[in-house]
Amino acid sequence: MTTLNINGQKCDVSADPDSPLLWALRDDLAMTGTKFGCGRAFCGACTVHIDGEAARSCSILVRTAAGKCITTIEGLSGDVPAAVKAAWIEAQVPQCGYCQPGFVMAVTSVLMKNRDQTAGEVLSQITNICRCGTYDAIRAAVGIALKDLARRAQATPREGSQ
Amino acid sequence: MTGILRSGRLSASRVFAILVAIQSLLIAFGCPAESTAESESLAAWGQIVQVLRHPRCLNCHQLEQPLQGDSRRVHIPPVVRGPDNLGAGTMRCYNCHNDRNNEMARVPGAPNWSLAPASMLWEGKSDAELCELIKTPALYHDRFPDALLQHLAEDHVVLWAWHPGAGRAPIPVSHDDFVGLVKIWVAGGLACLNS
Amino acid sequence: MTSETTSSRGSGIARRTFLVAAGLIGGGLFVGAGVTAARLATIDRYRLPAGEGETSFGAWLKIARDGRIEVAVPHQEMGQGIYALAALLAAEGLRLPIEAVRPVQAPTNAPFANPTMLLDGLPFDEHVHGPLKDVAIWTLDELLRAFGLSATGGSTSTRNIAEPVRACCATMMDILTRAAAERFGVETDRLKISAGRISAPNGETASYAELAPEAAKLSPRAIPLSRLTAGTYVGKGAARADVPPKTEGGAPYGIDVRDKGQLYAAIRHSPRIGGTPAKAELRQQTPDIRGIVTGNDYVAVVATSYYKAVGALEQADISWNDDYALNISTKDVFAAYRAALDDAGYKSHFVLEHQGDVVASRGRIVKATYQAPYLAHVTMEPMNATALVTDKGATIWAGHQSSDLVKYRVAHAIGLSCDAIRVVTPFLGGGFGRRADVDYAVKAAEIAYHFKGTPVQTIWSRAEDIRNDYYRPAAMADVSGTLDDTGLPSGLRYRIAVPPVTDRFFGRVFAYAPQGWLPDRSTVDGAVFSFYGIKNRIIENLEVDLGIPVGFWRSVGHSLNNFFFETFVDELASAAAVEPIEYRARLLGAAGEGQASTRAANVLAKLAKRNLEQPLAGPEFGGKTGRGVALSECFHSFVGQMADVEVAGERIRVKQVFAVVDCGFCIDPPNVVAQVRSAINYGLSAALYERIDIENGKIVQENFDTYPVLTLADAPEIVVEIANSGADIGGVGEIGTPGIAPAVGNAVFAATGRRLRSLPLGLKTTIAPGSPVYACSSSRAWRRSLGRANLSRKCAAEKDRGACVPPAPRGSG
Repeated sequence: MTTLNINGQKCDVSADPDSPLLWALRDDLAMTGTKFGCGRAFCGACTVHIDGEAARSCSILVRTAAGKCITTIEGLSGDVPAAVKAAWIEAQVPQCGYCQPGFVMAVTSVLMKNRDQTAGEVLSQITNICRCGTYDAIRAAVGIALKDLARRAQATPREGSQ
Repeated sequence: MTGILRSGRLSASRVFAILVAIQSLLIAFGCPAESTAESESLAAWGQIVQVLRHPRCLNCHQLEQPLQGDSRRVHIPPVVRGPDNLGAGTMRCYNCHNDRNNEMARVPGAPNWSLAPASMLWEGKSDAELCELIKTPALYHDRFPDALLQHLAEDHVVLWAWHPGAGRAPIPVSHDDFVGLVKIWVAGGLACLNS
Repeated sequence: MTSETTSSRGSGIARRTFLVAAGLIGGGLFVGAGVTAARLATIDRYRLPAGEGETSFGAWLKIARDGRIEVAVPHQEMGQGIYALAALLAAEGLRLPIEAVRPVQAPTNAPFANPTMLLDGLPFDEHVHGPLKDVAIWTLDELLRAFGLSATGGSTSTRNIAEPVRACCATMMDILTRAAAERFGVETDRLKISAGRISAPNGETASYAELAPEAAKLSPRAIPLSRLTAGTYVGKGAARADVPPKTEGGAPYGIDVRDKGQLYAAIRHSPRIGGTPAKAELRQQTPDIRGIVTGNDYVAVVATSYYKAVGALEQADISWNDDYALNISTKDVFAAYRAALDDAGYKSHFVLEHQGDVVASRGRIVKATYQAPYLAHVTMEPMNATALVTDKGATIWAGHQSSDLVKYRVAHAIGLSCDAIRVVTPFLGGGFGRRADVDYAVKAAEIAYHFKGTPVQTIWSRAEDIRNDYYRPAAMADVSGTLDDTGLPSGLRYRIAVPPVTDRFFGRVFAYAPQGWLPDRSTVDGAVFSFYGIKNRIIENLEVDLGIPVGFWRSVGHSLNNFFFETFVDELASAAAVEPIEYRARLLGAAGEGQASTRAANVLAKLAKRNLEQPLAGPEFGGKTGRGVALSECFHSFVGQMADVEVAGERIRVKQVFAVVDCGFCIDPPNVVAQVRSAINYGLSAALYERIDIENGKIVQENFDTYPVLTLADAPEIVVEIANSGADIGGVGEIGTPGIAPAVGNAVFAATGRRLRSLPLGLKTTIAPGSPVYACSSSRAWRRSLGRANLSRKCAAEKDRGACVPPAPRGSG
């Protein structure tokens, strides 16, 4: 049994410690928001946060993730994720939508580290694959999210990135 | 000789292994009168350099982007060195690589997985140039040659090259033999050919 | 040249198919009467099942228990937005806010049909109308509706449901107003309808749900439909209800099914096409590994988790019988194509179009040969299906493109009746035509058959997904034109060697489907019945099939022929020394006043306008810039594309694409823009990078490393302009794909003078041309070595270093 800290909760999984975190999430815990796209860290559909950084869960082993803070798409909260999700909806980004949780996780991790970037700087760090080609809408959504975050920062003093 | 070795990996590894075996035999049973510690050192270097140029080493001794596989193509997904050799943005090395190989994902891993420092680049250098580079004391914060020996004998990312996981050819000579060669090279005065 | 006779008058119908049509018409008229009667007994009489507290109206609408309206959609949601569109039409027709309508998958045992898709595949010139042909089409439409085969494909979903949904809305509103009139005791024309409530002048009011019990007692009347015009949502669009759950990770796909006690299967197919399992034995024997199943061409290990199943599959002792396996390679395919094209007497050969007298046309000859590779679909969600089989029936959970096909083929595979199969359809993580071939559902059912009573989810790894696809076929085409003294082609001969895709698809679906009797129009789509005014032309396909599995890929034959044809038009322009846009304008002018050429000319005029208003920008990366155009008519819609490229060394960088779309009346403009962008990126990915190779019967590629696709870093900015021509609704989902390859190829020619006649276009096979720039990288040597794409100039400036916050140290929470 490995104890994983997922979205702030302790979860015991019987998954093999040498198995990828992705399958512990999807099969042990039935948390299917994190997706299987390629199984070899090429596509990013499996992106989660580990200690606040985007990580590809099809590649990260259960034993590597143990003892760290894991956040999945289901557990995102805070003003950066809220801004990103609102922007995604305003820009109507998803088409088939299968890759989108991975994109949202990747973009939120970039902005949670530093929200004072340009859209180009944020986008240059995103390597996820979308077969529906929603890239124009993603670019628009990142712009919307940055504006929203800047507006929030002006409205209230920032307590610290979340 | 090195030209022949470079032309085909499979034959190179066999020739290489035979060379090492012969070298070890010669050393074990006493060398012909002409062999000196220096010529042994030089011969050892000739074999060490083959390991250094093997994809398992060379793929991460790159300037900005690691290479992958025996085909040595650019790392996919795209990654770059970053400010601390550990990648940048959402593609930090540890965002995908573990401290051991992930066989299901075919993703290699070892503790402290990262690109080699930019000072340790030797792709395209000749045997002699590489030799001069490797034995530059400043690279080792003046702990040369102990630091080099330690790196090659104990560093996890180096040991990984002998257990790289499915689909990747390991170094064709045993790690112990390789370390032995390095010791011979050092003991014989770090001989480099002038060319 | 060919011994097959063809009608040499300009009817555009090949002789063999003319006979087929005549037979159909004759028989059809007889059958049609009976069929119409049968049809009226089916979809027109069908009422959606309604449970306690629900009221249904016809086949399409239902007031649910929570008071919201459910609209039944007989098509699957794969990102094209059909669920949202059905909700939009229902909201408009029922005068409700969009939030009050909920799209749901139509019941599988209901007589929904998609005749539009099958009719589009007929080898008739859709621009030519006449009483005989119209009757034939009508008869076939009735026949197909009577059969009730529903499917999602061919960019037909909107065209298929728009009228029936609107008609059902009109009927439902009529019933509700009559019920309200009765309840309030006033004439219907004194009622007010607003925000889901019907009100009397005295202020009495009732919601649709409140009126439902009385409405259920009234009989429906057919209400004449008004022409589709702009309204609250129609012509403007509406927010898609599936967007929030897809953003937040709550939208379910086939692979997300999680039933209690569910088992998982990892599948491996024969590495060589045509191989069968010889031996399959487990080496791991633990309680979690439940068994190994052998199928026709696959082996699967079933376990309590996918990870364990994969591990046991890797360890298992498996060998294959290759007695009947293919041993050909890609080069053999193209050699066979070349041989067929060179063979004047090639037997399996259809002339799809023959106008005028090509042989007699004289002038300067321009010739070229084009080719394109096999392509995989690579949906983001790999193939998978979950099946629960019992002695009495089966339930299949899967993303697919036809519930009827799933039912039919699963029933056939496991020996049950179609009615015993229940199909549950979640969202699709991509379809693109792959999911129309339902082998993944059949195999999942066959595997679950051995574990009766337990749901088993079969997941294909990405490698299995890519290596066991039904590929867009490879093809080779010889095209030649004779230029008259005005520089326009007086004669055109177009010959393409390609396997018969539609035949093969139906052969997989219906084991006894006759093969080879109907010419496959789909394989010349994009070249045949062109809107250009080329007086003498002959379009022929030579069927060459070496056994590689082929199927429908986004835009099907258009993805081949539009590249071949529009590149050739560009070559003609070059030979005539006329600018490509102007040349196409002249070619369209030569076609006269037909609707197709007029619509194409309008689209082209917008490209010309854009070309003047936004001239090609200069190079950014020290390469050569160029601009290219392409026109296409695809599934009754007209698209013009203009691509701006920069070619640096061996790399092509597409910087911007401008597309003009005439899809007839445009119901949901924002979604049309999204779909066209999607289709352009899908086609561009293939144009630049994609190819499937076969070596000794084995597919070479297996994942995104060996089968690279378009990423954010190299996706261009795509600007889409919608040209509302007011014509009938055309298809939307696939129409952006065909034109991007020729537009880019023509742009490369403009930039470099190099004419690319073979796909993929990458001058060298490369992975994404632009590596992403990481704003915080401090390595100047790296930036120097890049010397190109996407360099953020701000990165070099010291003052911006402060804007880059180094990543948090590992280990901090």
